Amino acid sequence: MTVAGPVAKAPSSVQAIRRFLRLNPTILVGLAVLAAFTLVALIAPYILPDPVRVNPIQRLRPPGAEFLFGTDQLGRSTLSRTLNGTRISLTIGALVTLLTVTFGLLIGLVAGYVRWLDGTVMRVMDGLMAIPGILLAIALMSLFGSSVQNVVIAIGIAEIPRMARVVRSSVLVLREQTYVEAAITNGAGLPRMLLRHILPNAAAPVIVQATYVFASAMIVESILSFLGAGTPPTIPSWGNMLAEARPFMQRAPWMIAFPGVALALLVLTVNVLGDALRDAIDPRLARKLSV
Amino acid sequence: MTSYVLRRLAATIPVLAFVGLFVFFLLRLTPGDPAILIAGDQATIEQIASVRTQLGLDKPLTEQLFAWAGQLAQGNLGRSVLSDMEVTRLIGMRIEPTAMLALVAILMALAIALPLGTLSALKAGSRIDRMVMAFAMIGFSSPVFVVAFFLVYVFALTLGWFPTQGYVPLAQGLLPCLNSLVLPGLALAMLYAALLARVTRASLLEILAEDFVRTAHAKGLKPRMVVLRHALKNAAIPVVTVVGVGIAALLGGVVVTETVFNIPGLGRLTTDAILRRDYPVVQGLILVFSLVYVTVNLLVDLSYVLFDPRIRY
Amino acid sequence: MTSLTRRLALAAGLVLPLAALPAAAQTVLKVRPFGDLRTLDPMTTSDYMVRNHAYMVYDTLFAVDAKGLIKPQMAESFTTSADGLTWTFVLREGLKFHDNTPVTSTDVVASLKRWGERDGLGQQLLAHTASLTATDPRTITLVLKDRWGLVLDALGKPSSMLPVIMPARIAATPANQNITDATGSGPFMLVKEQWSPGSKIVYAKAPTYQPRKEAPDGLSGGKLANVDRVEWLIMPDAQTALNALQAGEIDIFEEMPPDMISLVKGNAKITVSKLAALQGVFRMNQSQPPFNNPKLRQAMLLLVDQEQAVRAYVDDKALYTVCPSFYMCDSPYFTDASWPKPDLAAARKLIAESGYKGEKIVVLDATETALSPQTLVVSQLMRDAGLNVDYQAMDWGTLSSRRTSKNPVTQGGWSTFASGPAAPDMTEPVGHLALRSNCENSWFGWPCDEAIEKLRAEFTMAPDLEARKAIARKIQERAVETVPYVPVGQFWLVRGQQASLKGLLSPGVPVYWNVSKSR
Repeated sequence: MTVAGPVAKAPSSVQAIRRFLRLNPTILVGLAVLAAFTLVALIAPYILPDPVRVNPIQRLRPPGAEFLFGTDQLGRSTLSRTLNGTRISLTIGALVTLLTVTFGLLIGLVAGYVRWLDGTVMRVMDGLMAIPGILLAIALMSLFGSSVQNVVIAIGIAEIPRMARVVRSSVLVLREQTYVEAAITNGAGLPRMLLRHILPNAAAPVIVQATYVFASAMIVESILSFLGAGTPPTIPSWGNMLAEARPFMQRAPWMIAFPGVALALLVLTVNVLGDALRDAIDPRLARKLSV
Repeated sequence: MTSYVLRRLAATIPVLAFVGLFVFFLLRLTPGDPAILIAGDQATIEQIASVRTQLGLDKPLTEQLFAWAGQLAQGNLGRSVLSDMEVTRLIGMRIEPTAMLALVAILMALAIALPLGTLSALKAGSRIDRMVMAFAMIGFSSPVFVVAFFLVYVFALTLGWFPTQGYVPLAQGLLPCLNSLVLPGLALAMLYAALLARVTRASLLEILAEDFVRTAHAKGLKPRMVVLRHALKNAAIPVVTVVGVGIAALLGGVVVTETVFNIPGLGRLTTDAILRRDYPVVQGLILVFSLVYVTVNLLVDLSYVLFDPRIRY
Repeated sequence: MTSLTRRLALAAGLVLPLAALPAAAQTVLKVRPFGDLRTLDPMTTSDYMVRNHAYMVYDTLFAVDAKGLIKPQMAESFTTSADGLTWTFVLREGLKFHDNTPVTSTDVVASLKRWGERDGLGQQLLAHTASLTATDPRTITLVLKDRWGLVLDALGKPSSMLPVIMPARIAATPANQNITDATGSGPFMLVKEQWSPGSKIVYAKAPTYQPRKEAPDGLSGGKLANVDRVEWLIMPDAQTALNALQAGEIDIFEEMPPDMISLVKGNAKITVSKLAALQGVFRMNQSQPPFNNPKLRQAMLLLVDQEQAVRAYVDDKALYTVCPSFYMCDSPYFTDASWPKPDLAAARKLIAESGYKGEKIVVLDATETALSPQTLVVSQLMRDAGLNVDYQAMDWGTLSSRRTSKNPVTQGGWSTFASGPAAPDMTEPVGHLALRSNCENSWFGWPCDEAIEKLRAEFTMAPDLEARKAIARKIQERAVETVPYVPVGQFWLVRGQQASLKGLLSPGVPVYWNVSKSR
């Protein structure tokens, strides 16, 4: 990986970011959409009725003046649940990403740098990867019990090995680089070494992988909830809404349409953002792609 | 080459051992046990305790672990605590639907992704390219069960072309069997096809820019021949890698697809067994899944030789 | 197979080998049962799927007719001595097990003894029994220690666990071990080689079965197998099952969610019928605070509006009943004596009087069950009344394990859960699952009340229906004070079926004799 790129040349960070965004309009749009979702997530609880409150008398109302998005089988407002669900999905996506990046970095750095631990650690990671992620998450959910926090942990555990691999392979490449070897000969300590030289250069693949984790976490949450092993049903997560809407697909299609479109849009945004970031950060690949 | 394969095989043993131990303890720590489910809704606590004794679930964990490991060493995966059937037999009954589903899905994914990815690479930057990539992006972003439901609604309920659910065993004929797998295969293939199309496009682009392709052009070979003879073959390596890596995602997708289409395969067996705490069955299944994953990845590594003569083991 | 592929198959000259399709020349009834069959032993579990399996392969000495009366089934006749202590039962002639061996009185004695070790009513019967013997190959003699009014009710028990008759060699299996051989003398036999747990259970018409001459009546009368095979196809997902029903891939869809009814209403090929009635039971843990306080339990009875709760699951008025009673509304023992009207203000007042100080109330909810919507509504009502609700979602596997705990809620204990026992288990005071108040031996929640237990014992000795009704009423009057549980409405489970099926019975338990299907 070359250090020289559009980012490295920029004089100050604010200017650099501006320039970076001007060069990459997709990222700008992606970030704007993401910001809009975040805004909705932040203000929804304050402007809409309680998304959890059940009222069987007004169940399965189609969209109309009173309920813009209609109501579900327990008489809860679909509008309120969909908008409040944004927060759940974003939270799950963000926390899983945080968890995965933290532990993925930790494990990947240790495995890549501490040679005698590498074998054991990576065998454990291989073992975890050999269990299909969804099944692992289902098993973990029946162990932990249903809650948002546990969904995050379960999905995180299934995602960490892949991130650890990405980090490890970057470290393996980087430690062969002359400037790293030079730093080692100059007596740089391990923490300093990792922080100053390895981490910044491993950042690009980690960021790209992180966006995929973010998107995939939101999808996996919906699949877990669909299989009945996700977030508690009182929580208006999109996964729960989709799972609950399934038997009403024909009778109350609005129940599946709104959370479905919202989920697809958010995941799509994050994925597009991830692609654009990869193209922008990895100039080698970007150059190839522009042939 | 042989020594490489042997080394790789040896390396899988600790992986499988870890998986076995991990799953064993994971399940035992999970609240709820099969005794309670067997005893039924109206059982008293004493009745539950007696079922537990009968199943040997009251013994210390280590004793249960050694008993299981001992059986395993003899190739015996134990018996289901719920149906009292041998786990190997249970798994045997369920392998065919899953294997057929996975095979159909992979073939469909390849049939969709390779042409589209190649087209997209050859017309990079054009409207076709953008459309293919947008399609890939959407396929990549949609939950399997949403795709599945859409397919059932359109092609089974509305048009009546395919059955809505179920699996017809191969023994009843290849065509009926394939017919029952069209919709589930397609639902499962979506994500995979999206991934493959992207990788095919990216690696083709990379190869097309390389010297030997330019040389072939310069030698006056027809562009189509260049792509077919040189570029695609070289682009195969990343594609094969994705097939290998994707097998995990595929196995995960199988669980969901089998639930939606009611296919009596390994995926549904696993979710049922987890929800009912049928320990021996879950343990056996996870081992089988891991074995498949490890084997496929070994085969993928070996296949590199086929596609790239420069690689030697 | 669809028309498209059939055309393709014909065009390709591919004709299916007939040998591979054993069902082609036979009539096969395809049923999506509500659950999965987990074990074959009807005497060790109260699981309703096992009970339904038992009705396929076994027969019983007595059975309940449509009016709720007990009629001889395998028994040809019976006599009672003047003192009511000696009962003699004679088996019908020609009864055979599926293995072609005759059903003898030895088999009956062995089966009843095994059943009596596990079933609640069976245990009572054996406790009152001096001897149960096989007098000759077709005659069984039961001698009681004292007068006991429920002999026939026990032997003709309609719901789990059933007193089924199995060969003595199988009944010799200890009662704490599951049997694995499903040989019975019922109208169908299990095709064990084709049983694929979690996927498919196959029954074939039993050539050995000797039906009664009478027409079917409730669970009694002639049980004619009019199809060659019955296949239970396990489909956990209700939407998948609905699709299959609409596409004609299955004949019967048990426990169709009521919200799907409107979707098939316009479809002339599909009809919907009542399958079984349930009573929603909201159970409180009386071994731990705060529900060890009767005042708070009384407050719960005032708090729950059955109408609101049950409508969260079904909103078709024909399919639910708001029933001010612990007994089923159509039970002969139904009474609304002392039943309070739902009253939020009064409930609040009682909560205040009870000295409730905001202790945490752990509500367990198995989200895949029909009672989950009711649990959500009741939780909402509890919150509205100022109770500190900790709602915990889980699967039934976890719930059924959690509810066995008598620990405080801080140590994995629980405060409430909901379940839906079937009508036969909620009809009269003795068999009533949730009214039993015999402390440690009662159902989870462990209500404990001597007065109710004394009345239940009196009930078994009562001379006639009127006397029994009076006792049942007294039990209710007492239970309204002790509140062993809160009923959250009675509702019907429904089934969807192909309209072309003929003779499908609805005796409150899904049974598949008498039904026929055109080829």
